[in-house]
Amino acid sequence: MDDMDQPTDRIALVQQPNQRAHLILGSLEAISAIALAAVLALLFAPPVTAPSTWAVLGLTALVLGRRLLADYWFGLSEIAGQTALASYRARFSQRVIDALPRETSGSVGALAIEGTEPMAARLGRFPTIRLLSVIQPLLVLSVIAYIHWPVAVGILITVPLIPLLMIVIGMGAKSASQKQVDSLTRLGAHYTDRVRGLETLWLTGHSQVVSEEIESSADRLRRATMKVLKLAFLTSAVLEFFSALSIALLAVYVGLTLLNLITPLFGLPISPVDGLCLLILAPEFYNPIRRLMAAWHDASEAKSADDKVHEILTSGAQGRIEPATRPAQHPKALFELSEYSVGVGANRTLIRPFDLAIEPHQITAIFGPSGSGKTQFLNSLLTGQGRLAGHLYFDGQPIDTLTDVRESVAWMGQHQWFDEGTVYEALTYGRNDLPEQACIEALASVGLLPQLGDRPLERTLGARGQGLSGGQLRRLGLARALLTKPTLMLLDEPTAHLDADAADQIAELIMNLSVAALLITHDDRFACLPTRYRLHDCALEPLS
Amino acid sequence: MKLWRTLRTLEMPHWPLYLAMTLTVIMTLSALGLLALSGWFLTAASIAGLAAAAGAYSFNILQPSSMIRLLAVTRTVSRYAERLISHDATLHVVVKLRRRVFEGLLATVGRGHRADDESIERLMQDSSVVEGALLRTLLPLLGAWVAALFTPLLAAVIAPAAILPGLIPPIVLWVTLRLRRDAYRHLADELDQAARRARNRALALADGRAELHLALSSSEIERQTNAAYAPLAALRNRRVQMEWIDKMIIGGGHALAFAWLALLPLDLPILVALLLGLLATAELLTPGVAVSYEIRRVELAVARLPEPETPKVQATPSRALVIENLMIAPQMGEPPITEPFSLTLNPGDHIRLEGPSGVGKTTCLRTLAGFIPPHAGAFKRPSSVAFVEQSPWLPADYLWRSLTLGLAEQPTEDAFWQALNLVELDDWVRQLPAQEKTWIGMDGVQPSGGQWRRLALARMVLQSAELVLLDEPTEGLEPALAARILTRLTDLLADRILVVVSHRSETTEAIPRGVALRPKSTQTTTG
Repeated sequence: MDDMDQPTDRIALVQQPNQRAHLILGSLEAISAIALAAVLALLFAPPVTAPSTWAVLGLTALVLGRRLLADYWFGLSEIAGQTALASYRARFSQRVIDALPRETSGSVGALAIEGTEPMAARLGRFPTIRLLSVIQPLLVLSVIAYIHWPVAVGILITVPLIPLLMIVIGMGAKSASQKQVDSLTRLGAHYTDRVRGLETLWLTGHSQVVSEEIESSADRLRRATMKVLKLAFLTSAVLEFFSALSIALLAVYVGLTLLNLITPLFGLPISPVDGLCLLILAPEFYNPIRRLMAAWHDASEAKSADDKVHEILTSGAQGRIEPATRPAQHPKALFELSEYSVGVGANRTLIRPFDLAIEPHQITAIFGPSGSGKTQFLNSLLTGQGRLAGHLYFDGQPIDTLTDVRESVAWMGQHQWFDEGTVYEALTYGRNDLPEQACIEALASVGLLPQLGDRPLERTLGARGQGLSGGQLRRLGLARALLTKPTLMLLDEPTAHLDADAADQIAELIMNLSVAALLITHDDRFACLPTRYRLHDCALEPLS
Repeated sequence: MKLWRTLRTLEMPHWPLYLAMTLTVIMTLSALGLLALSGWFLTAASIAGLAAAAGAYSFNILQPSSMIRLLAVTRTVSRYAERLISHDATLHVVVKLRRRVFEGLLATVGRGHRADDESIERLMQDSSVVEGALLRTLLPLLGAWVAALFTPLLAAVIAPAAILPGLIPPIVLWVTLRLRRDAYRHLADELDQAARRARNRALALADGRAELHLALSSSEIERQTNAAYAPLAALRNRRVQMEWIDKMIIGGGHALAFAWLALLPLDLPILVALLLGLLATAELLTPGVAVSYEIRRVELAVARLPEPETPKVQATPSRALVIENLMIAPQMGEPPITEPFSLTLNPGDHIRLEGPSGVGKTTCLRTLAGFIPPHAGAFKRPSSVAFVEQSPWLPADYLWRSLTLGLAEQPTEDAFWQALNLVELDDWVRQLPAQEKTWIGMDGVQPSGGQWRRLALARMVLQSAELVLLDEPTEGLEPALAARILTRLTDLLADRILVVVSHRSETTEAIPRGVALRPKSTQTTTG
C-alpha cells in the first residue's frame, strides 16, 4: 500500500488543494463530538433531575453543529477535489497538445472526462480524510484517557493490531490472489478485445458462441474477484469488530463496575457520567479510521486511472534531441532545413538527412504513402520531437522550432480544431479579437461566404464542426489560417477524407495561394505543382 | 422504479439482490440497537448501583449483557456479509450486462456506424455506472430509511410517547427527497450535457493540437484548456452545495426530534436508549440525499446502452455476387464517393478492385461485407462471407481458439495445420512454447504485422466461406512469399468468389482480372 502515498498526479504537478480549513473544521467536529458526549452524560447520567429546556437546547445545538461541521469539511474537500480535477484535466489536454502523441485522437474525449474522474476523490477528500483519521482519534483518545486512562490503553492496544492484522490479511490476500489478479486483468481485457472484433465476429455469423464465452468469462472474473474481496473485506471487518467490541466491552465493564460486581481497573472510580461519556466517545475513535478504509478504494482507483492516462500520453511520445551547435550560414530562402533528419526514438530513422529550401510564395509538395513519416516530419518542425539532427532557418535566422516564429506561420490539415460555437469563434480560436470585416474577407477568399447564409459569422457549429460538410470545414480552416496573413503555411493532407468534388475545390484553392507553403500529401491532384519531392525508402527525393 | 426494473430484467439470480438488502437492514438495525441497548444497560446499571448502595438491589445483568455481545457480533458479521453479497450481486450485474451490451452492439453492425475506441470507452463507462447502481443508489437509500425508521419503531416497543418525535426524521427525509427530486434529476441532465461538451472540447483540443501550437500563444492554450473543464467542475460544486442544504434540513429535523425526545418525561434508561439510538442515526440519514441524481445518471446510461435485438431476416442469399447500380459512402448519411456500378461475379470468379488511392476500395469491401449500408442500389451475395481487413483483428486467445472462435464448426486437426501450412506459418507455430495452445495477442506471443495478416488468412481458410474479401492481404510480405500464398489461395478458392484489393504486382499475376472503381466515371474492365 506504500505506493498509494506517492503523488499519483504523475501527469503534471496539480497543486494540492489547501487543506488547512478542512483540517480545522474536522478538528472542530471532533471537539464538538467530545463536548456533545460530555454534556449528554452530564444531563442524563443518574442520578438526575429533569434537564432544563435551555440545557436541552444547548445539547441539541451541539448535535446539529457537529453534523454541520462534518458535512461542511467534507463538502469543502469535495469542492477542492473538483477544482483540482479540472486543473488535472487541463494539464492532460495541455500534454496532449504539447506531446502530439500519435496521429489519431483515439479515445481522448472519454479518457479526459470519464477516465480521470477518480482523481477528484484522490486529490480532494482523500488527503483530508487521511489526515483527519489521525487527528480526530487522537483528540478523542486524549479525552478518554483523561476520564479513565485504562480504557484509553485498551483502545490503544487495538490500534497497532489494525495495521498488523491488515498486513497479515493483506499478505495472505496477496499470495493467494497474485494469480487471480493476473487472470483478473486478462479477463477484463478479454471483453474489450471481443468488442473490438465485433464486425469480424458478426460476419462469421456464429456470435452466440462468443456471447456465451463473454458471459462465462465475466462469471470467472466475478468468482476470481470475490475470492480477493473475501480477504480484502476482512480488514474492514476487523475495524468494524473493534468498534462494536469497544462499545460492548465498555457497556458491560462500566455497567458491572457501577453495580459494584467488579472492582474497576487500578481501583480508579468510574462515575455514571464517566461511563456514559466513554460509551459515546469510544465509537468516535474508530469512525475516522473506518472512513479512511472506505476511502482507500478512491486512492487505488485513482492510481490506475492515472496510470492509464500516463500510459496513453507516453505511448506515442518521441524523444527530443538537441541539435549540435549551429554552423554559420546565411541562407537566402524563406524557410530552410539543413541536414535535417527525423526518427522514432534514437535508433529508428524515418527520414535520412536532407536539405530543403522553400522560397517565398512557392508551394513545396512532399508526396509519400501513409506510414512514411510525413506526419512525424511536420510534428518535428513544430515541437522538435522526433528530430534526430539538423537545423532550421526562417528568413535567414536560425530557429529552434517553427513555434518560435508562429506569428508568420499557419497550419491547415486534415485534423482541425473546432469547438461548439459560432463561425466567428471558430475563426478566432475563441479569442474573439479579430475585426469582423477581416473574417468576412477571409471567408470570401475561400468561397465559403455564400454558403453560410445571411449572418455568416453568427452561424453556429456543433461539436467538432457539425453542421458544415467536411469540405466546408476544410475551407473554414483555410480561411482561419489565412486570417493571420502568414508568410509560410503548413498543409497536412489537406484533401484527405473528402469526397472528390470537395477535394478538387480545396486543391484548387491551395494551388492558387500566393503564400509559401509546405504541403504534405499523397493526393495526385497536386502532381502538377512545380516543386515536388517524394518520400521513398526513408529518403527525400526530388520529383520533376 | 425504473432502475429496479432494469436490474431485474438482467436475468440474473434475484437472491443476491434481496439478500444484500436484507443484510443492509440487519446491519443497520444491529448497529443502532447496540448503542441503544448499551445506553440503556449503562444507565439502568447506574441506577441499580446507586439503589444497591442505598440497600435495595435487583438487576438482571446476564440477559442485557449477552444481548449486547450478540448485537456486536451481528453487526460485524452482517456488515462483512453485506459487503460481500452486495459486491457479488454487482458482479452478477456485470456478467449479464456484458453479454447484453455485446449482443446489443452486434445488432448495430451493418448500420454504418463503426464503434471506434472513443465510443467503446464511453460504453464501458456507461456500463460501469449501471453496474454500480446497487452499491451507489439502492443500498445507501435503504440504509437511510432503516435509520430514519429506527427510532419510531423502537419507541413503539418501549415508549409509545416517543413515536411522535421519532417520526420527524423520516418525514423530513421523505419530504426533502420528494421536493428535491426534480432539481437533482435536472442537475444530472445538465451534468450529462456538460460532460458531453467537455468531452468534445477535449477532442477538439486533441484534433487541433498541431495548429494550436502555431495559432495560440502558450498562455492562450492554457486558458483554453482550463476553460474546457471549468463548467463541469462548477456543476459538480453546485451538487455539493445542494447536498449541503439538504443535509442541513435533514440535520435540522433530526435535531428537532432529539430536543423533543430529550424533554419527554420518560424513564431514564429508556430515554437514554432512545437518545443514543437517535444520535447514531444522524450520519446514516444523509448518504441517500442525492439518490435522485444517481438514479437519473443510471437512467441516462441505460438509455445509451445498445439493446439486443432479434436478428434481422437476411435477404435471400444467392450463389453469385450480383451488384446492381451500387453507390457507396464511407459512412451512412455521407455523400457517395463512386458512380453507380453493376457487376456479377459467379462462383470461381476472382477479381482485383482497382483505382487510385482514396477512391473507396476499402469502403467497397466493407459495403459488400455488410458493415455499411449501400448509399444507393443493391447487391445480393452468398450468405457466408469471409473478410480479411487491412489490419485484421484476431481474438486474443489460444492460437487454436483465435483461429476458430465463432466458426460454424470446429476444424479437424489436419485442416487446422493445412491452413497454417498454406500461409507458411506451421513451422513457426510448432516452435511456439505450447504450439497451437500458445496465447496469442496481448500478454502473450505478439506476432508481427505480417504474421497477423497471415494468421487472419489462415482463419479465413478455416471459415470456408463462399465469398472472400481480402484487403491488401500480402502487405508487408516479401514478394516471393506473397506470390506463393496467393497462388495457393486462388487454387483453394477455385470454386468460390474472390474480391481482392491490392496494389502489389504479385496480385496482378495471380488475379489477372481487374475492375476499376472510378469516381465520376463508369467502371471499366481490364484484362
